[in-house]
Amino acid sequence: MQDGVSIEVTDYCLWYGKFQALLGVSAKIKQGIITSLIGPSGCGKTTLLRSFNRINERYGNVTTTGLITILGKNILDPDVSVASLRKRVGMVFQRPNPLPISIYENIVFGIKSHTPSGERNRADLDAAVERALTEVSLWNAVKDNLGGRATELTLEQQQKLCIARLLPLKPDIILMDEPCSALDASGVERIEELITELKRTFTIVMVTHNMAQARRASDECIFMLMGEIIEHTRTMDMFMNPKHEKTAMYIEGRYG
Amino acid sequence: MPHNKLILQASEEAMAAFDSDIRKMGRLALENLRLASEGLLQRNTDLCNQAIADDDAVNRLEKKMDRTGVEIITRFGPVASNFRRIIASMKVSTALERVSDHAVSLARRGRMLNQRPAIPETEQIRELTTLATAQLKDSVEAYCDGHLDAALRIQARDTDLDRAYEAFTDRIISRMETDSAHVKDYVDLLFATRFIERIGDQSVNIAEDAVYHLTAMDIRHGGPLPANP
Repeated sequence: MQDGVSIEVTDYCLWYGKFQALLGVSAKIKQGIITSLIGPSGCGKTTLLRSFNRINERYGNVTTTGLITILGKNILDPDVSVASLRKRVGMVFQRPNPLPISIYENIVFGIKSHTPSGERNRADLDAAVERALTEVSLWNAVKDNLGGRATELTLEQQQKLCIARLLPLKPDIILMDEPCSALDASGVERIEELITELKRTFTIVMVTHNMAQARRASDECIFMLMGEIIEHTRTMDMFMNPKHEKTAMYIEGRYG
Repeated sequence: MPHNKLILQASEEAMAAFDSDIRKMGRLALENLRLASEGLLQRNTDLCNQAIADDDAVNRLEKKMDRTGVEIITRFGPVASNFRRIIASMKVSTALERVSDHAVSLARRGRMLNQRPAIPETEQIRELTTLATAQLKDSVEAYCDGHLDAALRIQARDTDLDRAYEAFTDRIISRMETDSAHVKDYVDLLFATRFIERIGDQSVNIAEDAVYHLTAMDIRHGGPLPANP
């Protein structure tokens, strides 16, 4: 794999039963930047995003061909452990989905799942919780209430918590499926700021329906239509001078 | 990792860089006007050549301003005064590019005059260059620093410059009627002062853009002025 490429997709096809959702998709997603997947509903962007940590296999009846290479390894190979893949490739969903347990336990849940019990102690866990919550600017708001239920936080705080609980696992890639769509305007602004801050450390791939968000917050954009990638370029180039007519029609709001 | 307002910060940084470039363009255009004026008044062709050579930097900044302005609009979708500032700055940048072009034309006339013996009428241009330079400097400052009062005074000041220009033109035409030996010089002086008068017009444009940025009012071509500025 080329230097600076985090995810390389090669001629990747995906079927849900007999329905082909992705038709021979190829892309090189760069490391350390934010890449937005955009396109009308049903274009395959969420399917592609979910392929990067194989979470769509949970639906059953999914078959694939082609390659998705992450960190030099085809993640579709049968010997790949899905648990370890998902440790390297974290995911944040449209609606915040904290576990219905305490804030503290939400953060340490992932660490406990991936670390043998003999190798962790309370002080390390405490430090990891503080670090993760600080990184998402949530520490000051919740430090006196770590035992409180995560589901009682505001939606914005819950989404920050969902991002924070990925961080102790030191993922290489964070996938985000419309991470701001359940939030109000100020929540959107703060999550976008957080995402922009996180890209220094992680590769971020984000599905968004919000063109303004794609423009503001991403470095590159991939425009998809009917299971295919139509255009993949710098965000500024896509919105200033799209190369394909279909891209132009979509970003100008003529369909979708 | 400290919490930084990065999206906001990115847009603020882009706006700050944009503002800094318009200030720089203002400084360069003023300097080119100074070089061209002094080149003519001091009969120093090196200064004229410098004004002509330095125009390229202003041209490059004009293109950069347009490129950056369009990028800021595309990326951040600014509204209200931020949006007006982007649009106004792109227009101010065009005005400053024209100022620098007029300075080049002035410098070229200066070079021609410098090749022939000095005539006393040249010194009379100083009044015009002084007025035009002060007017340009103040309009650029009013724009960059957001001084509405100063911006609103520029239109009236340009009338003074126009009167001085017309008086100068009348004097030179009278001289041409009696002194045919220096007609070439007089023609060069008439052209030179025409460029200075146009620089005055550009500073009026800049002041009008300042008023638009600050108040959203279009005072061009006799438009209503802001109440109680």
